[in-house]
Amino acid sequence: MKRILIVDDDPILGTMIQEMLEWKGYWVQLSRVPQETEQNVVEQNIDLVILDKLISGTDGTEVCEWIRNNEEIKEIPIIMITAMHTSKKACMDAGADDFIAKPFEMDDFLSKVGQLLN
Amino acid sequence: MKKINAHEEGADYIVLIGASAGGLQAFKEFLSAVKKDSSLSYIFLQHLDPSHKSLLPELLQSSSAIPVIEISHGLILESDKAYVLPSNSIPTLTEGVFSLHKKQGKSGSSHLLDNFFQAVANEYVNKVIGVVLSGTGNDGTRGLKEIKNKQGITFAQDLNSAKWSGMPQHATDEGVVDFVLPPAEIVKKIYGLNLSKAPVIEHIRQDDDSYDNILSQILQILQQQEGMDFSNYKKNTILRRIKRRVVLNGNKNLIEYLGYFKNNKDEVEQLFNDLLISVTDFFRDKSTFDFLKEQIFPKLIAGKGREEPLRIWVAGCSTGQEAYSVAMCLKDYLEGVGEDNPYGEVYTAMEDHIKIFATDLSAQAIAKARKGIYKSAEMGGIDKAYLKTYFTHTNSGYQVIKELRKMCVFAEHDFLNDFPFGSMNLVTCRNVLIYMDGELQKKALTNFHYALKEKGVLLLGNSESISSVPELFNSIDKSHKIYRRSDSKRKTLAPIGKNKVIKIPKLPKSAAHKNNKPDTRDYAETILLENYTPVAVVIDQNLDLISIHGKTGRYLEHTSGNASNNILKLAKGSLGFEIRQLVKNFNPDAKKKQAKDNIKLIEADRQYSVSIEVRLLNDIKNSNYLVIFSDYEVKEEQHEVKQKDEKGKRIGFLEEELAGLRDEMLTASEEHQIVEEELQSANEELMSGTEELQTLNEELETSKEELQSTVEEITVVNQELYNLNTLLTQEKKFSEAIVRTIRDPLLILNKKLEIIMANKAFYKNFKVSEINTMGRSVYELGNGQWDIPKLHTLLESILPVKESFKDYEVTHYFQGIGKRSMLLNGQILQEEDHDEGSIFLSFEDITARKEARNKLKESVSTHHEFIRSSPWPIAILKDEDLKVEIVNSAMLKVWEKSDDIVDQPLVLAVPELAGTDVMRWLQEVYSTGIPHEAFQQSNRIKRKDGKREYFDVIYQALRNIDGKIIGVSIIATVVTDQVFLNEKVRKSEKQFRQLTNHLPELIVSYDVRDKTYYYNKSFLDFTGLSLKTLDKEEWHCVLHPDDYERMMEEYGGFIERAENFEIELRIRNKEGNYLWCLNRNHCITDVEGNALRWIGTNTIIQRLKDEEKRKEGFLKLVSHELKTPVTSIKGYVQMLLSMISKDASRPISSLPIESSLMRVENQITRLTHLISEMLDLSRMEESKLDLNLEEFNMCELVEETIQDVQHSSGMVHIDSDYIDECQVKADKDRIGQVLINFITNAIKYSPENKDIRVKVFQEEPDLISVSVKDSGIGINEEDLIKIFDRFYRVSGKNEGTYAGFGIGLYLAKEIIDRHNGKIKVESKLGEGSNFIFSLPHET
Repeated sequence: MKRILIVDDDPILGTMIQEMLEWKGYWVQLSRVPQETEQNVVEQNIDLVILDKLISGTDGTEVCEWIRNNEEIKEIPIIMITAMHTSKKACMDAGADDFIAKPFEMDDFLSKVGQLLN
Repeated sequence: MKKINAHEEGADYIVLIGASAGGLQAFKEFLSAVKKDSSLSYIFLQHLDPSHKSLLPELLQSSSAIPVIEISHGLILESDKAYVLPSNSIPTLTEGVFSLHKKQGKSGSSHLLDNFFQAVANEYVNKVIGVVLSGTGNDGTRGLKEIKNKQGITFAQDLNSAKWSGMPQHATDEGVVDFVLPPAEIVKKIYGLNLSKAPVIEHIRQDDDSYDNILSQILQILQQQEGMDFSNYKKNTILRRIKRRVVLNGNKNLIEYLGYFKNNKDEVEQLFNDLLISVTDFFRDKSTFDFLKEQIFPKLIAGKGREEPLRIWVAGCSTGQEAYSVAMCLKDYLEGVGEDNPYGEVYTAMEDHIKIFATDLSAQAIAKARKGIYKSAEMGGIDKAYLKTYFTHTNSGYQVIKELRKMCVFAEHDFLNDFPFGSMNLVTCRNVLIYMDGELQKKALTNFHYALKEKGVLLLGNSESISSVPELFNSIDKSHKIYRRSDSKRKTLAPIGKNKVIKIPKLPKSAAHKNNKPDTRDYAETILLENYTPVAVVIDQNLDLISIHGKTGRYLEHTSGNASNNILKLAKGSLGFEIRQLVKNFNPDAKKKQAKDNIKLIEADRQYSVSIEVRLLNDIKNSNYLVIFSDYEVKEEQHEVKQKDEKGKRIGFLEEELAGLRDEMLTASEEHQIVEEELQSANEELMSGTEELQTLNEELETSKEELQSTVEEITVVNQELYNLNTLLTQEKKFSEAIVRTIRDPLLILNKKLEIIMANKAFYKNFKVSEINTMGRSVYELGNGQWDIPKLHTLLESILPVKESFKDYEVTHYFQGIGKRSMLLNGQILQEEDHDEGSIFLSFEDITARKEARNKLKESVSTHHEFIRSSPWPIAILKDEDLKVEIVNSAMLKVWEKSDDIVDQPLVLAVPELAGTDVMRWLQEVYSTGIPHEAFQQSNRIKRKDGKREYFDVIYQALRNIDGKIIGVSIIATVVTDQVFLNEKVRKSEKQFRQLTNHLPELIVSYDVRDKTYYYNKSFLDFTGLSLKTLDKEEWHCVLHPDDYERMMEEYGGFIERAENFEIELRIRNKEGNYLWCLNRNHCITDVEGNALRWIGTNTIIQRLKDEEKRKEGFLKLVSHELKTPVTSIKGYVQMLLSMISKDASRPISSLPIESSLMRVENQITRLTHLISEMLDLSRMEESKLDLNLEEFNMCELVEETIQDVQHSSGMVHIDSDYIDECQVKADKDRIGQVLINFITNAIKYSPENKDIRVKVFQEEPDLISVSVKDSGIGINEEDLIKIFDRFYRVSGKNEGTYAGFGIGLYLAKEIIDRHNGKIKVESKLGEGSNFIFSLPHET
């Protein structure tokens, strides 16, 4: 079972994604504290990180960069969620593997996740 | 060291040292030889500049072993010290104390030494040593003379060592210097004189016999060698002079000197000369001479016969000044008398009848007197008038004029021992007798008495008198010592003998024996006298015996007691008495014989009857008497007489005869005596005459010698003349050659204007021949061609008056030559004694020159015309005073003057320019030659119409051919319009600047031409930079570097094309922050499109930008916030749909439908809320927020709202506080919105503590306030201020998602503001917040 970490501070959205992914059979952890990401990834053997671009004031790209610079977890696949598709470049530049704009089609989202986990 | 007092015994010597130029060096040399304990005191006098303080003391101290002190008033003189006179002072020394007086005026310094030396010598007598060192002039000579007179010692600096030899040389020449040596040697000599040991001679007393012996030896030697007996001279004088010689020679005492004296002929001569020193001067005792002139001369001249000469004898005339003084006085008198002269016009001839005999012992003195030349130092006693009249100034001094000299005859003569002159009208002998003792004086006076005629006048010196011979003279004027010869029938002479070795053979004494009578007669007479004459004695007036004739034993006898010669004592009985009576009552004119008979005399039992007859022996007052005794014995036996009557009668008769014979005898004897005396007189007169002849002889000798020398001189002069003549001939030839070869035509005319001479050039130039010119009148030349009016004027009018002239121009058309212009120079040569003169004319042909000059004139006037007609103001100024030479009308207009200012100096012509920089420039240009340009100068002269004018002016130097600056030119161009234009531009610029300074925009303006930037005030204030900094770095230094790059990239082209453009860029403010500005650039171009000026304005849009950013941020946020719930909704829906459709296996009931749908619902609510906020916001933006005002109860609203919130939130506890009166008029919905916002915030921001308190209260009378207080996290200060700003959300990572866009409070504020209410917040971080709004109370 693949293990996914969601980093998002909106509880409703986060919960929704969590339920969606769990429905699809993934193990999901929801974190609202981006600083705990490393800890979570390492401890929980995370296989994929789903990162919201706007996390309670912090720019998600920062977190992405930070992950990529982190020796331990730099290889981990990351999907960024953003409200504006104009942010695509910024996300990709930050090191994200993929990105999806809100609101997204469920199928789209699920396929991206599946791709990155394989 | 002790005080020097002249009168103390053993007083020390004072050394007076004087100098003038070169004195410092001499003083130094002197002082360096001075020893410390010499017991002498040294006083230094130097001619000093009165205006400078003398540094002499300091300068001399270094060379001196003794202290050098500057003389001050009241200073005491001490020995072994050097005293220096300060400048501008006159010293005196009295009783050992100095006094100083300030010098009056410049004069006086030239007699500084003389005056001081004389004064000190007078007080300190022989204790003075005088030294004259280097200097010019003759100061000091008289001083030294006086010192020498007072027996002091004198020194002068030798010529070799003296820098300036005038003073020492003069003193030496005058013979007043004892030693001539270099200064150091002088000091040594002084010490060598052994002065400090008071000379032994000082203590010589008059009656000291041993010295008397030595003295008489010396005098004897003197007499032998020099023939002069000084033994009757005043002893003191002689001693002093001898003592001086002793000291000078360095002898220890008189004995030693005597030894030296005996063997040294020169010393004898020196002493002789010393003894004869006399001080004489012109017009000594002037008042005496005045008296002579007024009282004596008139009487003398009146008293003598017309043809009689006036004879004057000046005895002891020394160097002749006395004699010349008398001569001058006399001559003066004679000339002054003029018409009053009883002799009428003959008075001039009278001068030939005046003879002044002037005599002296000293040959030296007489020689000098004969020469009649005196140095100026000796001329002190003479009036300037006399000096001019009676003296001529020569190289060697002042010489008496011929007339005066002719009046005097000088000779060596000893008035004591040589035969005196005779028949003198006036005898003067002044200040000679004082040197003689009583006897000699008497002798001298007696001689003078002899020399004078009846009623002749004797003049003595001031301190002399005739007291030794009172019977010889009567006093005329006691104060002036003028005496009249007392007349008597006889002249007697003092015996010549002891004093002198006789030079002239004397006539035998007894002149009575005319015909060589044989001696026998003498014998016979002797016998007769002895035996047959009565006894007689000669007594003098005092009844003292002089001589005895015969046996007087009967009548006279010596009695016991003191031996006496007096007849009263000697005469027996009453004889003395009778004699006395007779003498007393003696009448020289009585015809009767003076006798007394029958004087009884008893002697040894016998009785005698004595007769005494007294006779006068000479007719001088001091007469002697002859007393003749005769007696007979009176016998008692008288009666026997009868018997012997006949015998007796015969005897009686015989006796009578005898008596008669005796009488005859006596008479004869008397007559004999008389004759003898007359002969004696004649003899004496002859002697006198001889003496005179001798004198004349001497004089003639001298004249002969003088003539001889004159002849020699003439020969020399003759030779010179001969030489001169040769030279003259040469010169003549020379000048003739010049005249011949000279190129300028020359004419010489005589006074009649006839041509005496013309040179070749003249003939050539004017084409006339020699024949036709010589001797002809100048006007006839060339066939009357020269008859030119101008020439007439010249020769007849000008020349006679002016004597010479130059450059006289004559233009004339000559036939055959053409028109000629000539310059003439003329000169009259006039011989002194002739009437003949000649006129020299020289010609210069200036025809060509004149033409050239005319051409020049033309060109000059053209040049001037050019200047005059120029429309530009031009002026030409000439010379240093900048005279206006040329000025055109344009310049005149500028200066507002008329052309009468030409030739005036500029400062006078245009006074308004005086003191201005124009004058300064002109002067600078004139002196330096460097041109000066001045632009846009306003007219220095204010025009009457007040209009202003401006000029560009150039001042240039004008030079002549040689390059010398001779003037300045002023050329101006009018630039008034330009100036006005410039002014306008400047004005508009100014306006522009003023305007721009007030604008808030940051403005930069760039002038393309000047390449200058202008920054307005706002720019400078904003950037905080100064103009200086901006000048250095240019304005884009304040731009954000990226923006500048961008601007250049995007708009570089625009700049080149001078096209306007806009750009947003960041400018750095004074805090260093970059703020966004909208930069608009506008280009001002000229007609061709070239950029003239760029004007850039920057409007600060940072706020806008900030808002933009915030808006952007907001949009992003909105995007995100809206999209997030949508995503959730979509997610859940899609999930469910998927589950329902795709996951068929799962039963519907197992699907999480409810939870999902609930979440969906929730998110939709959220969305709705957000959307309505957004709409509110946009409406707020567009000010479309309309208020629905209604009255309602605030408390009710609050309560409702709380209920709603509590219902939806649940876990919140809200307290409330209400008041009664809380009616407001407002938009209920909106106010509700505000409340909800406050409360939801309170809830949101106090997650732990859910206690919220809402209070309605009346904060102020008209306000209803509602406060929502929480105890949550509070707000920090920074956020507190901005909390009501649009989009402002409190940042911080501790909260969860933002529940809103940051619009809530902003909206709340807007709403309350719209209601004219108030809104505020109180909060402290960590302690909670209290939001309050207030609305007007609606009553």
